Amino acid sequence: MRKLFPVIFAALLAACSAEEPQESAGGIPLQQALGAGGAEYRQVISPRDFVFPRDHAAHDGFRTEWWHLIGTLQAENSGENFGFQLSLFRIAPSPPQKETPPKNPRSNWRATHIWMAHAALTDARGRRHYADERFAREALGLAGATSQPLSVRVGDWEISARGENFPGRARVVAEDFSFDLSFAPQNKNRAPTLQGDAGLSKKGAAPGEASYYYSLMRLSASGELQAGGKTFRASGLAWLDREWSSKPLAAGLSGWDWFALHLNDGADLMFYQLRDGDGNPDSHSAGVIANADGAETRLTSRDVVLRPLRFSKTGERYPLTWEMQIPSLQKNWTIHAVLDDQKMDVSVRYWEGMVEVKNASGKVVGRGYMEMTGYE
Amino acid sequence: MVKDRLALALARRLARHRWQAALSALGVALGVGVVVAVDLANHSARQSFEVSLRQIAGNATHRVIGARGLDERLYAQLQRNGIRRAAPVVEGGVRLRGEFFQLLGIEPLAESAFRGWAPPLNSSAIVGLLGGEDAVLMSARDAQRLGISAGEDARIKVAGAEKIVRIAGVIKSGAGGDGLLLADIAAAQRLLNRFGELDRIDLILNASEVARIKELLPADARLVVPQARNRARAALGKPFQTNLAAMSLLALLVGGFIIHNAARFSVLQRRELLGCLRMLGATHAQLFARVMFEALALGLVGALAGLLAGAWLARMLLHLVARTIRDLYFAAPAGELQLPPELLAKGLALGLALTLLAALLPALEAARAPPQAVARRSLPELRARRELPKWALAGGVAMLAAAALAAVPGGGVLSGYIALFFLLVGFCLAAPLLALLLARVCAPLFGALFGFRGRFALRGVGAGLSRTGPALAALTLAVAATIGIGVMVESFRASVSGWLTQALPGDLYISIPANSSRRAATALPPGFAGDVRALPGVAAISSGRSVEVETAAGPAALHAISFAPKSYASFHFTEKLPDLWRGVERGEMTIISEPYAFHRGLRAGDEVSLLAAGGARAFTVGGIFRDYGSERGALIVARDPYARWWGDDAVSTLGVYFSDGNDAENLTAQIKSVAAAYDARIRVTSNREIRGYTLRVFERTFAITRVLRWLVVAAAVLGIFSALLALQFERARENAVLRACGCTRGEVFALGALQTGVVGLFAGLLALPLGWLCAQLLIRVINPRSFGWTLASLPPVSTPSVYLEALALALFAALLAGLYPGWRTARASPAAALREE
Repeated sequence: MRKLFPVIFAALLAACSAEEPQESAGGIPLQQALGAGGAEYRQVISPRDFVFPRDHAAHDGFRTEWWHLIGTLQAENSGENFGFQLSLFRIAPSPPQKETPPKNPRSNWRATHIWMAHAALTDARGRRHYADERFAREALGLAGATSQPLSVRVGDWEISARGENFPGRARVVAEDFSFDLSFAPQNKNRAPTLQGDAGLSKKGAAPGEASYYYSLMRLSASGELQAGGKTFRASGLAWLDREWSSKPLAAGLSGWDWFALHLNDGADLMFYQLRDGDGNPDSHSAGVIANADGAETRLTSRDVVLRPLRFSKTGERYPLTWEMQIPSLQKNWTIHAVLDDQKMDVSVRYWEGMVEVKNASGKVVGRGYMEMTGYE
Repeated sequence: MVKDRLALALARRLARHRWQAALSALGVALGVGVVVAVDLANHSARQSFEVSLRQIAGNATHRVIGARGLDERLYAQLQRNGIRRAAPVVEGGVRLRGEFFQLLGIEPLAESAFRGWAPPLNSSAIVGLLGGEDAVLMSARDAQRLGISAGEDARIKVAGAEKIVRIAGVIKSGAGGDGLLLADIAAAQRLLNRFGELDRIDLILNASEVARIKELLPADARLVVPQARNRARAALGKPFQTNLAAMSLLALLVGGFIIHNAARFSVLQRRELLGCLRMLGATHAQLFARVMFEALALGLVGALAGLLAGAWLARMLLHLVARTIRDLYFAAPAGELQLPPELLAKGLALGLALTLLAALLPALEAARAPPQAVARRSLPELRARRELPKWALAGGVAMLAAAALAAVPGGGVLSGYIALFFLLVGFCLAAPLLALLLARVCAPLFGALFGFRGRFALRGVGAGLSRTGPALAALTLAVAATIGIGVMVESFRASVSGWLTQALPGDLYISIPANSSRRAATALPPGFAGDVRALPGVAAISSGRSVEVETAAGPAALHAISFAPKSYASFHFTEKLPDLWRGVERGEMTIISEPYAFHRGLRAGDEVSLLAAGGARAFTVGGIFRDYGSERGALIVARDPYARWWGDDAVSTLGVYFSDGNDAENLTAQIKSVAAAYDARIRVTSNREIRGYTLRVFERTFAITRVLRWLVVAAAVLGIFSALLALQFERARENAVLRACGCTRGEVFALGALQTGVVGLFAGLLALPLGWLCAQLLIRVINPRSFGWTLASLPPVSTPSVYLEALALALFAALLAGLYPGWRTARASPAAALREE
């Protein structure tokens, strides 16, 4: 489960009209953004056959697609904890068949795709959250994706591999932070986790309100990062989410809470809670828990009970501490933001940051990332 | 108690002469109004000029520019190397509904940090830009003014060709975006036909990035700081605006004379009363303060009215100022009038200060009035006459100072204006004495012409100098200013016209008008030049390529010319090196225009460095030629070396020379049809047409000067009117005696008219030498120091009309002003006037 705003952005691009020239994305109702267009793109209707490593690369024809890499790291010498995020989005402003044929001669700047990238770094000890974004069009080599070798890039922010497949590398040089990390699946033989129904992740009742979604949930990561003028060598765990869709959210939803957790016992958990217009959990909320041995258990909205315990005091009321109960698995955790202020203060505002998982006795049993939208 | 009575007594007297009061307030109002109007118009034009530069530059700290634009791939290279805050720009001039717009092609995705007024990234306006190849945004103000709404299609003209754009949205953010069409860079490249290239890359860099980027740039690209360039461009319009400001001060000076006159009169008229008041115990200080207070009150009323009038007038002037700046400097100021309070305060302060200064002498006189002066009406007049030589001496000194200032070589524009001011004021101080002398000289002539009336009128003028002196001076000043400016404009026109004849030796000139690029003129199609040359009857062609090149001191206009045999003679050099043409043909030398040499302080033999495709290239200045074509100036190099070093063999202008004895009309028609077959946008123009057009632009440039000249004259007419009105009141008894002695009303009126005519005539005669001197100052000192142009100085015989018109103007102004006062005197009942005796 991933972000709403590329969808809004894409919807805007598709439905761009002269009638409301000055409205900002923040002011456009979600329903409108999601309801508009989308039908002329390729649709996510039925499960597909995933082929790796080919599917790591781009899937043109769908309106939007993203590569979302997050992770928690520990500095090798000093032991500081860091969280990092690199999200690369491909957005097709117009459906392939609706693209106007280019007029001749054509400008090299004419592009059928635009790209957006968000990068962030959380310094837990320094209590700072760095965030940055960039945009580029897929023209003149400014941004784009290739499969051989695998490279997904916006400017010089890049997720890449030496060949078609991972191990890979993630590089970001931002305004006041940077990271250059190598990552590889911890278990080479473990297949990517297909989310939902064999990789078809339903986001609503209507046909097409879904995405193709898979995850590389447990990657080991190490490399160098810079923050606050200091350089650290760090290593830890990372997580790659891959998703593409033309209509990744049903109309009428107000937002979501998404969790990607690495548990110390070797299990990995993903769960997204969709919230309806009243803020109540929607029945299409879903997730998975994969044990250390790779055995996966699907989670539905009935399996997981989420309860916010503490909220941010300033600005939007993001829940910063959650209680997560999974009665069927006898799990009862609390999930704590490592740093309260991990708001992504970029073109679109949301909260995304590093969390700790504690058990009932307050012991840290896992780490991961949490993303929350729709509290604005 | 005494003080209140004093005030009352004086005020009552003043109230009886409310016309006088109203006129002096009007004089101040006119002076302040003109100053404020010019100030506001200048300020607004400059402001919008700067805003338009700034909004195009945005927040960029640096900018990359190239010898011939930039390869668009450089942008991607910078992005890949971590130079993130970079925005590519393609820009060009287009016309929409006949108005000039700057088409700014941007990468909306890279914009957010640069141009704050541009719509935010997540707005559908930007989204609309990305959406189409023909989508543009314009400011809401422009859209409203032109009656275009979002979603509509609009026709634009790009380099003469018509294209359709869709107004995808409007930008509503304040002042930003006026005069601009914002387009996605892909659309801009297509509309401007500029595929593959950028005009510049705007950058926001920190120190380490500055060092890094220099290693990434190719040899023909350069990193520059836009702020300095904008300042340099904005400074270009300054001399023109200084000229206007100086002229507006003339109007204020005339206003000063008016209030001086009025204050003086009010004192003279109330001499008896003032004497009585002194006898009753009023102190010097009280009387002084009283007169000053009165003047100040009038000045305040006048200055306030002047502010209102100024703001109203500025609205009209702004249009003229903006148009001139556009003609001279190729910028498109938006032209929105602003009313900054500090400028209004300045106008008010100027008006009040002038009033106080002008009233100082009369107030002192009032304070000095001896009590026994009640019956001695002749005393002030006598004293005034005694003081005339003193004033004249002071005037002489001032004029000498003016001469000294003008003579100092290398002096600035300001010292030129100060010299002008000294000259005017000095002459005006001496004017009454000169008028007196003139009256003596003319007496026999007038006697012969008009008999006793003539002598009477002349004596009257001489006797009334304490009253007519300032008015005479004011009229002299105004008329002299019109002569000075008129002669200057005439000699300017003569210089330009002479230059045009010489500078356009070809019979026809061919180009594609209107540039789609700021940087280079639109190129003629390849092969076209050869086809024209091959036509029978064409003796020779010259070809030129006009581009903007980078020099160490910013961008400059460069013309690369392949000369025809007759071209060489078309240059008139003010200085040159001996082996000039060989050096030029070899590409070792450049020749530069006079304004260019002036702005950059260059002499023949100096070196200039131009950014060519392979990097900087040095040229020796081989000569400096006269050129009135561009105020910014231009450089000329030979075309072959240019083509080699800039890798650009395009031609944007052709000059066609007919062989003798050809049917010019027929040949022109042939060339036009060849041109039409290539490209409908090609314009074939005869040298006569170019001359006509250039002179039309020239006329337009001086339209505002003409407006100001008339305002100065209006102020002077007002001054003379108020002086004559007062004079006629003074003469009421004199005229009553005349009537009583048997003169008819008509005769009294005629006598009055003769007297005012004498004042006008004298002012006009005195203005002739002063006007000539002003013109010399403007032509020889102020213009070269402002613009670097050498103007031909025309002898008065070649522009007799300017002088004769001025003389007629003075006469007519005086007569017009004397009409009403004369009519009143003639109508006055002699009995009533004599009863007062």
